[in-house]
Amino acid sequence: MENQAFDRYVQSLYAQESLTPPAALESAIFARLDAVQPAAPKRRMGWWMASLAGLVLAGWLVGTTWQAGDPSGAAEVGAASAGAVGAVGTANVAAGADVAAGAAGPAAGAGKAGDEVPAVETAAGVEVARGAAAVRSRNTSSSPSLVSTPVPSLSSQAAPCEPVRKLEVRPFQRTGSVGEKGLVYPRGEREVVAMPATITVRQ
Amino acid sequence: MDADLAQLIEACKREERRAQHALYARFGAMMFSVSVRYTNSRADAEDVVQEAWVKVFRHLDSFSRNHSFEGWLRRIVVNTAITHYRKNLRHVHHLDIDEVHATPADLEAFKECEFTREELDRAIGQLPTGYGLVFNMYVIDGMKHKEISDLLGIDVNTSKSQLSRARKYLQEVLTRMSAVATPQQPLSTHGKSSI
Repeated sequence: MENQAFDRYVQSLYAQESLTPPAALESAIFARLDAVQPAAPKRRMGWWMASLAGLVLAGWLVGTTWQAGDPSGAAEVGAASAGAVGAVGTANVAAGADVAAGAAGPAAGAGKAGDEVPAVETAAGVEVARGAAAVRSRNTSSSPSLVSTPVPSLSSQAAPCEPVRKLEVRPFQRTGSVGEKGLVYPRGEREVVAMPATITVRQ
Repeated sequence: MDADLAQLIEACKREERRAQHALYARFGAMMFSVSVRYTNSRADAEDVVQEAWVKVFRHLDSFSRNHSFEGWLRRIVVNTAITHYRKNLRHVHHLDIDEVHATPADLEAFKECEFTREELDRAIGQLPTGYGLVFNMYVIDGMKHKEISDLLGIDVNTSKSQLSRARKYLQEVLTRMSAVATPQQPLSTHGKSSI
């Protein structure tokens, strides 16, 4: 028999090869497949859960960022509005120094021209205090009708304000002594010096 | 490719279990019979076909619609079987096949015989493993000598000579089968062997 004829003969016998596999083989295959490829519905559910968790996380991050940004923004707005209102002479908005840093505003606003107002530790607070003091001083002189604003009057604060000692961080000077300059950090690089600070408000 | 099969493949790509079971129901028998042809035992065939199906479902994305899906499946089973054969090569006994020769008279007798598929399976099963692989790949699965040599890691001429010897050996076995009155009994004392 020629090779080609023999090959064709064999091929004809295998044309429709089909051998029923054992029944257990299918379950074995899919059990093995489960190990490497989890069932699709579960995976899709996992994907949805992951997406939902991502959205919640993103929302929380946005909310947190907005909240964290708000006080600083409010401080800026408060300080700016304090200055603007100071120019106009309206105490209402200046008293809107409900900004935490500007809380010294009312006390400052209650003072008269030339009074010492407590210093605050942040620049924004100082700005607000200055603005509020300016507004207050104008209000007391030019538009007393507006004194009925939330800004407390000087008379309501019986106790005089104690000067606040401001902490400053300066480069360490080796010539200074601990007793004179304040606390020296063990590393000797920087020191904290307690400094009296006052702000004079001029009319 | 028919539309049903295309839909089934797409669903399998989405890893839908129901579609995967349907695909198995459609091609499971074919895959298993190919696996049986390339292995020494049914246990080995089951191992190979298991691994082949896992490969099919995991790499279905790489199947191109321009090709025959059945051919793609066959190739995966064959490749898996060859990998399995190489892994177990050290367990296979070696047998010198040079003494096997079919005489012209045997071939004449063979021409007049008609064999069933099962008889041919048994005859191919008696081929030394290396010869059986080359014969299966070339004659039944339609591969070229270059592909065979690449897959088996042998020279092209070696593939050709093994095919030639496999043909002669098979014809000799079939001739003896036709001469035996009870073909269900073992036909030869030759064990499963490799080159």
